[in-house]
Amino acid sequence: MKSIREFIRKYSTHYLMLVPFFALFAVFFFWPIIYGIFMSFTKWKIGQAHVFVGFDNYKSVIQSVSFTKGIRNVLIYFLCAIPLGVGSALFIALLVSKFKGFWHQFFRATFFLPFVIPMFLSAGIWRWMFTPQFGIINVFLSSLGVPDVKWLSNPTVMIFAVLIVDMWRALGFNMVLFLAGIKAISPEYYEAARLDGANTIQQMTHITIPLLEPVFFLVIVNAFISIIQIFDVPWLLSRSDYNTQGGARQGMLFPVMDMMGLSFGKQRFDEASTYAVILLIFALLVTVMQFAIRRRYKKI
Amino acid sequence: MKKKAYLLEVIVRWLIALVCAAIAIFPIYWLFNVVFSPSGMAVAITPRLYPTSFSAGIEKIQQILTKGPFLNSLGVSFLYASFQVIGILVVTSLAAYEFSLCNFPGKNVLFIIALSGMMVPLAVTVIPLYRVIVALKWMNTLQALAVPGMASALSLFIIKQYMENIPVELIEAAKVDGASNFKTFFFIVLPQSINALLTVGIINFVFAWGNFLWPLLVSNKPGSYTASVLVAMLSGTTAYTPIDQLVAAYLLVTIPPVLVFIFLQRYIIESVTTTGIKG
Repeated sequence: MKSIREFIRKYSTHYLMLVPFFALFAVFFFWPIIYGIFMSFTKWKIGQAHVFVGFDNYKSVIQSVSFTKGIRNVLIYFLCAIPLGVGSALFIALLVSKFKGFWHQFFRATFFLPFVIPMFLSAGIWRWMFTPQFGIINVFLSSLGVPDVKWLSNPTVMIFAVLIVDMWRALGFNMVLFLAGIKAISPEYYEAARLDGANTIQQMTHITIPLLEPVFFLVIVNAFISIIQIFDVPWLLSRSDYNTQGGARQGMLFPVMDMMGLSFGKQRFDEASTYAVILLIFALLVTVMQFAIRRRYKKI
Repeated sequence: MKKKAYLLEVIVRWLIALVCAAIAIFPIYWLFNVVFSPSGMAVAITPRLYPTSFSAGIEKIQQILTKGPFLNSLGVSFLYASFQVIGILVVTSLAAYEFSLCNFPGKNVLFIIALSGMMVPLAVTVIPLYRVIVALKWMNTLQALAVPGMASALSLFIIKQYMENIPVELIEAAKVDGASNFKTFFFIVLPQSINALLTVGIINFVFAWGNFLWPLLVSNKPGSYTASVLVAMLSGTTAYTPIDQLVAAYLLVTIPPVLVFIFLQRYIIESVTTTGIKG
């Protein structure tokens, strides 16, 4: 009894200061996840009681055409976004790192600026630029003799419009990560390499790129997580609403967009929650992988 | 011979850097160009690449500000972002202080639980979270926009990293002098952490200003629209908005985050390199 009182006297002030954070955390983060998982196993309509249905929702979500379409788009997107995104960010970071002083900061700021532009605005600006015939991109392309590209209505090209906008936005962010990595490499390595007669390309492949491995890892993990939740840009580029998502032949359909259609168009919050749980499993897998690989790094 | 090669390398480097920078900045420049040009420049077969009419731009901006709900939505966005930033600062700085400078049973477990918020994207919780807001009868209110994001794990992480550099002796000295736990936090630790608080405040302001998914769900009545929701709606298929007014709206929404970035970029870039996590 006395020890409990002692404990309260000693620690209560510490726990008290954590209450605001954890109260909000419980109501607006923890509870929604639990509630979502519960809802995914029930059949439910607004104003009715939950009826337990086991894995029925999972079956109907996974078997739906739009789910396949969304996953397919995520995969295509992923296969293009990782090499292009990582490559361009590394290239720009190496370029910017060659400048010193004012110009270093100038170029770094210029490339980072798109990242602070709200995504919904980026989508809007790029949509004008993608306009068929009269949009600046097609005007430019036609001056090079390229025939008109239907960026926003040709199902095979649409996903690349999303990719372009997103890469434009993420480039500066990843560049900053690479820049920090490049800065952390000791110049002694390069001096030693030069004494051994290594040329610029050899220095790159034998020093810079291997030593940037943790940054590559971080950038790729970030890309994974942001692809899972991609929403604003394709939603606005394809002029989606709650009833139709993803534009022509759902060429720009991504999982979160599908989830929004299910919940607010079809009023199927139960199936939408199922979607969310599936995405959650993806996100957790990425995190587990991240920790596993990090541990390996530390061993080396 | 060697000198010549070096000179060539410098020239090529500058050329590539300038071209790439021009491409990166082009969409923002293009928006600016369209606003400050006579009507019909957003989509034109023979576009001009430089702004030609300052007065046309001013007129467009005047129109969008005086007609319709745009000014109101800017106000909503501003209040939402400010309210959320204040909430985040209060809630996470208290927790960050405890996790970085104090000791109590269960500290590590609680910290890992708190950080789990960083691993789960908003998109995953958004549907049940929406049901919570409906149940609380918070739809179309400021608190619906701002409060759910206040327990920000990313912000907690940034402030905690920073506070860990404050010497523990400082805290112990204050406690020996009889300061309570809260007083130590408020008078000793907080003033030392201004930089971290600024960083967290700035990035969260920019995030909230640009947030679209969450406001789309909980602000769906005229009058409570944020700028993001309103602008998206104005550019949608069903709305008839003259493109002239729309471009002016775009420009006005772009200005706050760009200004914040230009003057306070050190804090934003620092937060990127210390956490490595995209918001």
